[in-house]
Amino acid sequence: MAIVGSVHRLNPYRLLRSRRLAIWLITALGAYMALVAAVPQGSMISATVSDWQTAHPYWADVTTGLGLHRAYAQPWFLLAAGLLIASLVACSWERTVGALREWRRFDEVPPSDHGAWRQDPIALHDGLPADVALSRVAEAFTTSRLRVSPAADGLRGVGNRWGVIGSPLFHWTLVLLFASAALSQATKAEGVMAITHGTSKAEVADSYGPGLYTGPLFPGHRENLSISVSEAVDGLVVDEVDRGYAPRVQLAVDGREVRDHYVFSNRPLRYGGITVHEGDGFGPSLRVRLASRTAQPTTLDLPFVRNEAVQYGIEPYMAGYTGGDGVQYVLRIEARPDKRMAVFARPESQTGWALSEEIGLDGSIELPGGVNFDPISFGTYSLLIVANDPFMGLVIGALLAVGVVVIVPLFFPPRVVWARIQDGRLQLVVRTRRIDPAFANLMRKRVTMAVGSNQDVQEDL
Amino acid sequence: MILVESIGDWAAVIAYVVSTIGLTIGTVFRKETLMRVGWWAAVAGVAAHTVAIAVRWVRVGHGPYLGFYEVASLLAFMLALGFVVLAWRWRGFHMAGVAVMPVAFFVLGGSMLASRDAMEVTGSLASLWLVVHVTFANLAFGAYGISFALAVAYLMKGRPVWAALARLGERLPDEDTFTQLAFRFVSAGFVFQTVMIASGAVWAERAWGRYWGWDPIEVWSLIAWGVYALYLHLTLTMGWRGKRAAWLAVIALPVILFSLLGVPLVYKSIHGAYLAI
Repeated sequence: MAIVGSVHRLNPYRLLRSRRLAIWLITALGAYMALVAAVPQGSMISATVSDWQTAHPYWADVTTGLGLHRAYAQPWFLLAAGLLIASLVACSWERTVGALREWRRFDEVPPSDHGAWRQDPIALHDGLPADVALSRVAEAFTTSRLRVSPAADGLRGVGNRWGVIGSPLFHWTLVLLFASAALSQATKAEGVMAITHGTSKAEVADSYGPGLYTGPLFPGHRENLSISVSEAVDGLVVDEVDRGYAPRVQLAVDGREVRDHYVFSNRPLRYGGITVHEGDGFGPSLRVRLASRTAQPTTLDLPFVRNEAVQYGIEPYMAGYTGGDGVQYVLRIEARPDKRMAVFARPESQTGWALSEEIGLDGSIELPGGVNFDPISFGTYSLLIVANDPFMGLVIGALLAVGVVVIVPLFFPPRVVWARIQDGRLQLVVRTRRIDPAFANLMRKRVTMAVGSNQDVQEDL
Repeated sequence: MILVESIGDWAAVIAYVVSTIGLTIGTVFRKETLMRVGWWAAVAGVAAHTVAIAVRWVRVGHGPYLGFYEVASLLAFMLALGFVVLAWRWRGFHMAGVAVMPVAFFVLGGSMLASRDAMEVTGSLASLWLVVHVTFANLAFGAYGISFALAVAYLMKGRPVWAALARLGERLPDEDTFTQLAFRFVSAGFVFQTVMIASGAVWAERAWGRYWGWDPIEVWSLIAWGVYALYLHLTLTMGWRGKRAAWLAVIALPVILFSLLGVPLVYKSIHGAYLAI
């Protein structure tokens, strides 16, 4: 079967609104997703991916070569998904135009249905006057939850008129969902932030660990906003339910506190596009002074890397610093016995550690880039997931809208019935959706029971 | 209470087996009595299953949302209940049980192989969204299960066995009604599944900080949603009717079943905690 006709190939809009194109794209994307669902997603250094590759050495080359560990960021997937969304927009537009046309002419018998007046007219019960017959028809319409009004030469019953816009509305909410998700992805910054208890960090790039995602249209960090952790409770009980590890987080704007509560699963802290989630992590941290010849000394609170495998895409936390040579470096510290620590450092562009040295709290070493590393004291940090996402609310709203609006086209199809009496017979025209094929039979049966000479009709639907 | 729960489960399993046997033999050998026995066994199974679920609900203090046993048991219940109601309303649909009741039996039997220890509602599970998400997942599966049963019955229609079975019901639905009912139940299932996915995404954002993470269960839910979206589009806009639409409804059920129960067994998933075996 040809995917699209030759006419479609000449006209991009007709191609996009083609139902067949949408159906083939859904099928192809579904097949692709079914295939890649078997392959763990994530960066090549993540524990999940590397464990899987070790367990499946034969497939590792194939999945790595095809980029299947980042299957949903591959050009072919993005192209097909983009095409499907463009097709969705074209279909939504076409449905909207059709719905508006239908809305305007909703009260009129469409010319295509004029012939239907003469189809299977219902013979009236013997001696039934026309006005009585019409009033009984009106009752039958009302029973069918139709709003009755007089028409040019009879009656009209209308139900779910607003259902006309149901299908385009649902398709537009899907468009809104995809658009808002894309907008959110393009304009947000999101990453993990380790904050030592009793300290605060400004919402700036340097406060996040490596791996900070910044969308291409991100408008900029909110430097006047600071995030603090005053304390944390492991096993916080709220409403008689153990909520697990819960740091108490404060948010301040220009030094004025605007939010303060414990953050745990299902209770993120939100303020003006900023969302703070508990990052499933805590541990010892180190206050350290970094000094170079070219810049002012800075004091940092660095978390120790946890030893256990990190789940759900949160990589082991590492810090960063700018060397005296202007190069960005990655810094990692691991706990060692007797309050000693191993310090690792490397340029961000390299993979192997350029420095690996063990020191005590009273020691001092020079890091690559000519920066001096002086440990000061130990503390405790909480790991937070911080998102600066101005459009998060829009995404959530679109999700809720999709869940609500989907009901309209499927459960509230628009219905119109016209009735008139000519030559002692009742003529009926019923217009509804293909989704609602039984309605025409049902109306005919109800009207026949109300006014027809043939009363031997049963409602079996 | 544990004993009552176990008895209820075992009674349901046995009843579902009896129902499967009765309906299958009744269909193959055109024995109306056996078909009726099969339906009544399904009714008895649903009753026992209801008791088992209710007793456990009271015992563990939360609905059947957590762990493979609870989730699978509820899905089997929805399937069996759907068949019982369908065949009660239109008695000609008894034959649909030949396809539905074995699935209900295997899903319930499989669930009983998993741990029946009560899981505690903690951390990310402590949310009203859990109730919304799981309730709509079950409603969707129930509706899709009925559409599957209708499609199977439709595909069996026209075969020699049909004429004999037609005597089972005085008001056997015509072909249009089959198609229309299957479509209605797919529509209802699609609405429920859409609410399930949307509520799951909202919940995931609150619990984990992201509304969509391409987790295998999320991906397979989307695939199943896509399959039923295809069904709706093909029937509404491409004019698919009759056998083609029925086959699509038949093929779609294993997809949703796999997305709800199979994925956590096969893949490592963040949802695995809810379906822990």
